[in-house]
Amino acid sequence: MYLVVDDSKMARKMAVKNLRLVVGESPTIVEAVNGQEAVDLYKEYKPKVCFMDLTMPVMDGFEAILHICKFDKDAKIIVISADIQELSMQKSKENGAIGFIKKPVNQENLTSMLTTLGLI
Amino acid sequence: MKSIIELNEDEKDCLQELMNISYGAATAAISEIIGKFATLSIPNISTISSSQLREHLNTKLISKYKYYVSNQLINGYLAGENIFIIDEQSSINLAKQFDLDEDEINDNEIKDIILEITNILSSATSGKLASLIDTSISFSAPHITKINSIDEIDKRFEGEYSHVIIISTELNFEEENIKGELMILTKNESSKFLQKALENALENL
Repeated sequence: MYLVVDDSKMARKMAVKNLRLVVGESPTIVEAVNGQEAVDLYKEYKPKVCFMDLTMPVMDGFEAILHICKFDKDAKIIVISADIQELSMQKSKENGAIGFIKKPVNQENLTSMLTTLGLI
Repeated sequence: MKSIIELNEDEKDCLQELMNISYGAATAAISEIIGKFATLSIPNISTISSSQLREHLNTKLISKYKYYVSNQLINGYLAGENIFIIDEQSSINLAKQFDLDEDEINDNEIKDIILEITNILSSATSGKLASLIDTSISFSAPHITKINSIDEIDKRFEGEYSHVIIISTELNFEEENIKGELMILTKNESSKFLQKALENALENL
C-alpha cells in the first residue's frame, strides 16, 4: 500500500504511473489532495511509503510530515516537490521525511530513491 | 469578448503543475543568490480577454502603492511576454539583500536588480516550461518602468494581446518583506500551441 499526496491531479497521475512501473507489480495506491487528507489517510491505511508534495492548500506538506511522523515514528515519507530550495529540503528532513525527489518524478529518480532507501 | 482559448480543468491542472515545477526552479535560483527562504504559492491560471487585464491587475495590486514593472518579450512557439511587478518597498528590501547600504540604494540600483531578477525568473520559469513541453524559446532584453498607479500600466498590452492566458505566481520572501508577482502572457497562436502541448502531455499520462 502506497500513499500519493499532491493537490495536482496530473502530479498524482505521474507519481502513480511511475510507481507502478518501478515497483513492478500492481500495488494498492491511495491518493490524497492535501496534507490534512494525507494525515487522515495515513492513520487509516498506514502505507508502506508515503509520497508527499510540499506546496498544497489546506495543510502543506511540511506540516503533514510532522503530523504523520508524530503518529508513526517509523513513517517512510518521500517528498516529491518543485520547491527545491536547500532550506525546503532541509526542513522536510528535519520534519521527518527520509527522501526528496525533485519534480518532475520519473522512473529514473524514483528507482534511484527507492533503491537507495532499500525500499525495493 | 469570449476567449478563444478555453482550457478545461485537466489542462489547467496540467499547466499549473508544469508552472509549479518551472517556478520552483526559478525561486530556488533566487533563493540561492540572496541566501534566504522563499514561500512558494500555487500558480494561478486564468484565461481572459486583454480588456480584462487591468481588472485582473486591480485584484493583484494595491492602488496606493508605487510599483516597478519589468517586462521581457518571449520569442518562439511560446511567444508572449513575462511581466514582473514588485512594489517600491519590496524593491528596497530586495536591494538590501544584495548588500547595498541605505545610501547606495537609489532608483537606478533598484531597477538594475529588478531587471536581473526578471531575467532569472523569465529564463528559469518560461525556459523550464518550454523544455517540459519540448520546445525552445528566446528572450529579448527586459525593460523596466516605475508606475504611480495601475492606470499607468502600458496600454500596449491590451492592444497586442487580444486573448491571453495569464499564469501568475508570487515571489514571496516573508521574513524580508519582499513580494512580487510574475505573469506570463501568451499570444493567441502560442496559446493554441500551449493547449496542444498540454493535450499531448495528458494523453501520455
